[in-house]
Amino acid sequence: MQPTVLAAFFEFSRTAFSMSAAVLALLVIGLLAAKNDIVQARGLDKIAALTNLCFAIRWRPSAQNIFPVQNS
Amino acid sequence: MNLVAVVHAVAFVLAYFVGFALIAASLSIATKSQVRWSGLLFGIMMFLFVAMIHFPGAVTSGGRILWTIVIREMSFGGGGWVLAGIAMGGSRAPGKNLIAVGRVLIAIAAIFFGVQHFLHPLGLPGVPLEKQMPTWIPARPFIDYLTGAFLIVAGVCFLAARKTRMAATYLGAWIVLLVVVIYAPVLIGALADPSTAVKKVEGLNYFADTLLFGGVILSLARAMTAIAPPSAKFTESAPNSSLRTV
Repeated sequence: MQPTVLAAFFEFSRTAFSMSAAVLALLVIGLLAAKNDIVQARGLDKIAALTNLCFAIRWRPSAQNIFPVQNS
Repeated sequence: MNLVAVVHAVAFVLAYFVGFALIAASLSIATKSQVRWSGLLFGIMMFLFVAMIHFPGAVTSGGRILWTIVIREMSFGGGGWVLAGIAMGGSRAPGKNLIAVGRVLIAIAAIFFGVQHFLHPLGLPGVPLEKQMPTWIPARPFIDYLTGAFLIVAGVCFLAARKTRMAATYLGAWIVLLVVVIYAPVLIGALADPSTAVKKVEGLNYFADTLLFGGVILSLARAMTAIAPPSAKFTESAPNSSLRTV
């Protein structure tokens, strides 16, 4: 891996990192929870089964509260 | 301890409290556990934010963006109440009323956003804020006009409580598609931008907020499914169908 890429990775801000990690974690949890609904639904109802997942991913205000945004 | 220090301490504690409350609400909604409470409280919190922060700001400063945020947060609150209504059993009194209030708020947001798409046809579609659509996207005005038309038609359906489920399903699917095709690349571009943390957070905000708006629309579709008997799926034109009264 090039040093510039490594540097960019390590300079990733705490806020952005925590929010991205939270989004990924909630995506996995939400998908696991919605798995049965998605399987049972038909057609476009499969997308409606993702409703709770769409809600849950909106994590950002919480992450911003706990890790305030800092310009790097 | 002087007054300023007390206010700072309270604000500090409040910020952490809201942060952890939102994490708890997210987990509750994602796992579909106690959604009647998390949805209800999420909605109340959104309405409090509107009443205390966004609405006074929009009244004093004016401007399209601030009013868009007011309407957006109201629709988020309405979506939370729709989820709570579904969890309470949408065909009975408390749940039915929550879904009805949420439906009207979401309808207002859909119509308002739809009109904004026609007035500002180069902005990112879905929730029309400041950010413009990236230039690599072909037929940018067409996407905005199409989204605007979808929003207005669906908003009128929601308001009139006619074909609500079908309109919400198609509009929600369109918004989720926009998030995947347009907002996800914008998010990746923002995260890869080495300039500032603010840019990264902004990219995440646009992605998560528009996805939530899609979820709000889809919650209406789910509410109609929860209320309707199985045989009534996509057949809402029956004159005395319960779908039309919610």
